[in-house]
Amino acid sequence: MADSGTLLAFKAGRAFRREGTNFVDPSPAKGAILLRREDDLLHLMWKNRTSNEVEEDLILFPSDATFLKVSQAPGRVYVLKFSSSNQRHFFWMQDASSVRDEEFVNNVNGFLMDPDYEASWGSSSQPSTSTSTAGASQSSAPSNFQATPEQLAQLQQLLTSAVGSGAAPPSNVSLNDILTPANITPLFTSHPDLIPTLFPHLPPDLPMPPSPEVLQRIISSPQFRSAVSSFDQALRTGLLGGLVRGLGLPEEAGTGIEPSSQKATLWMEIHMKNIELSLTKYDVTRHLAHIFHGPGYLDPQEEPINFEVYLYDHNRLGRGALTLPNISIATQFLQEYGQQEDGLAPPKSCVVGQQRIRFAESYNEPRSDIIEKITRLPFQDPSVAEGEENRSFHLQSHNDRYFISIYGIPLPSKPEADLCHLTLVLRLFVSFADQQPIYLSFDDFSVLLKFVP
Amino acid sequence: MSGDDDSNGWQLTESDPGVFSELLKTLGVPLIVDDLYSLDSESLASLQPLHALIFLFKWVSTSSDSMSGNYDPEFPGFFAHQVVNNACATLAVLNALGNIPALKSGSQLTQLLEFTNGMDPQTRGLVITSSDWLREAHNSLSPPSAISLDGLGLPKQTEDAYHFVVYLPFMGFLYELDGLKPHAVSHGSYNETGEGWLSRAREVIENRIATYPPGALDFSLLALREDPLPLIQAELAELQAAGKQAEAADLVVKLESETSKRNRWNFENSLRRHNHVGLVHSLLVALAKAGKLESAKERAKGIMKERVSKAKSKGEAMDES
Repeated sequence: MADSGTLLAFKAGRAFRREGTNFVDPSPAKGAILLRREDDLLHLMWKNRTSNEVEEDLILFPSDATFLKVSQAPGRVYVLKFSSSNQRHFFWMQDASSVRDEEFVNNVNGFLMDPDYEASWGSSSQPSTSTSTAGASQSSAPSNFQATPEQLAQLQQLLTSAVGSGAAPPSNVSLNDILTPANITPLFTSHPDLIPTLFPHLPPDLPMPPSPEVLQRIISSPQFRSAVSSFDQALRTGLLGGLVRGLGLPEEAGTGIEPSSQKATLWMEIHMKNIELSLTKYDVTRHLAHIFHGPGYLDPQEEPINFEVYLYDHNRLGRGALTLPNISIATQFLQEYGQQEDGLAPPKSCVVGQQRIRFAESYNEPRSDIIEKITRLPFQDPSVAEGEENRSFHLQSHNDRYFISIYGIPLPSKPEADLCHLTLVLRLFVSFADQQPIYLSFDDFSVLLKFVP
Repeated sequence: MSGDDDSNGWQLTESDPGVFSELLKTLGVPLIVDDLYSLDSESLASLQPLHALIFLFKWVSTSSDSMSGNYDPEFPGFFAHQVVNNACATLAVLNALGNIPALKSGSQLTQLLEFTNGMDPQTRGLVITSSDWLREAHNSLSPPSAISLDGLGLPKQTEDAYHFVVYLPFMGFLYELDGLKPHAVSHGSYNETGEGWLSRAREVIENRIATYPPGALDFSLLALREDPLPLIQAELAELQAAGKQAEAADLVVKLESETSKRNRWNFENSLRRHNHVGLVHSLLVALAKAGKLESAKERAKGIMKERVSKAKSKGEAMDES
């Protein structure tokens, strides 16, 4: 388990120091602290459980930070303190019961000291009282576990990548129609080596040993088809992205169902190294866009492939992650630009600035928020994004008074779709006294932006 | 009949003989449930010893269910009201089991039946529904639902809401036990000779079916009977020991068909208990690795388009989500 993404997670809110005082005011937003290992770096993230956005992402070096209880504050307030700086981040525990506070804090500090720390959990992992869904008691049989959010996110990602990258909602395709015996049976003859990879996922209490025949029977069975239908319904109702269930349970902390043979098949994230330090994510994105939107990758019928570049720690290390929405694209890209097995240089090189970026499979689970973003939104021109970022930064530092008006405009998401979804676009017009209007747009992830003058 | 917010943790189960029989096994009861395809004397005779008939049908609230028989508020046997809709199958089983004389059962069921002795139907229903071990036994065969869709206020797909009614003999009378009716219903006495209560039951059930326009009622019949497997095995051993090969051969056939039915039940039950998210996921991955996912998607898109336009032309409302 040492190489998986999320190490632990628990419900916590943030608190902020009141300017010029020693008081800390808790912010009511419901959130979670997630400790993740990405590549060789430890991240402490704070995620807003309502919007599902990661609003804080701190990279922590070993022994640099500690997580301490604030004894002067009433209640369960903790502070993340750094030895290398004066930074302080305050948090407060949001789980109804404080029974596990100490356990979480000890484990957090364990990881902060040593990234290879092995978390230790109490012997009884009782589900927190706030999980209200599906009252059925957790049965003792391990096969009855509920799928973790990571698994469901991966499932959604695979499916939406099957639908095609971009903003297409998965409502025009049903999982039931993809996983038909007609589609799967040919695999038995064309790719017989793939079949045994499915065996570990069959019921452990089958009255007969796994075999291709049994697999066939299962796939055509009403029980399996009904399970597929219920996943299909969950995917379509967008349950997967927003589901945060059972936070705080050790099972949440990245346990995959995959045995080691499956590990390599699940990456959609590509690790990048040797990025010139002066570059921004937009520089890298621009360059990669030439590749992904160029010949060999872009299908003129389809929308431009969306992908996300994330540079660790504002590129202080020259490393980052490239998340792609689609296994086949990722495979192709790595074959052309990625680290080769024999150690030789790849057939093509991606040079940005003065350095050639090295690409390799990442064994991390891609971040679910990134997956959601690249599968639901169309590709955004990095120059536009860069411009917006610069502009918004400018606004933050400006002291002028703003005139704000808010418009709501309903739009069809895709005129030619059989099923139209009315989407609401909220725009915030901000104008300076005698300057041109500047637009800040707020978009819901399921919406295509459209300019309305 | 969906009441998902007052499901009290009871999940909807399939009304399949394999599911019922597994429940009986969990309860420690040496009976099984079999599909009953016909009410003729031969079919019924082949299932003897037969303890109860279960009539299940799709509940349509507009269906007129004209009452035959009479309410018996003084019914001395076991009768419980259906308090939670999702528990209807298990409740029907209990209404049957509670009235079988000298029933062998596990200690939990025995205690439950003793505990509810003398209670009124409503209270009995409440006790049953709050019985944690019973609910767990009931839920153990519904899919673990990797994503629980209950209580999320989703547009409900039309669910198969079956209703269960039990017919059995009690102290010389034929009773109908329907958890949604206020009392047990008596259909009078029956002739002990010949088929006994079964002929009366046949009459009552056939009359009931006849009150519906032909084809309007979607129903099934199940038989709650002694588990024949140990009996067949014992008899077979005897015949073989006595050298009666011809009869033994007949029994071997019976044994094989019974055994293969159990294997099928076990297979289906293991699928019911299983969380298929891993298999679904790895199937999609396998299709992707074989380079077949894209074409499968294209075909699926086409199928969906067709389905949508068919539904539109039928003027049905497609559920938005």
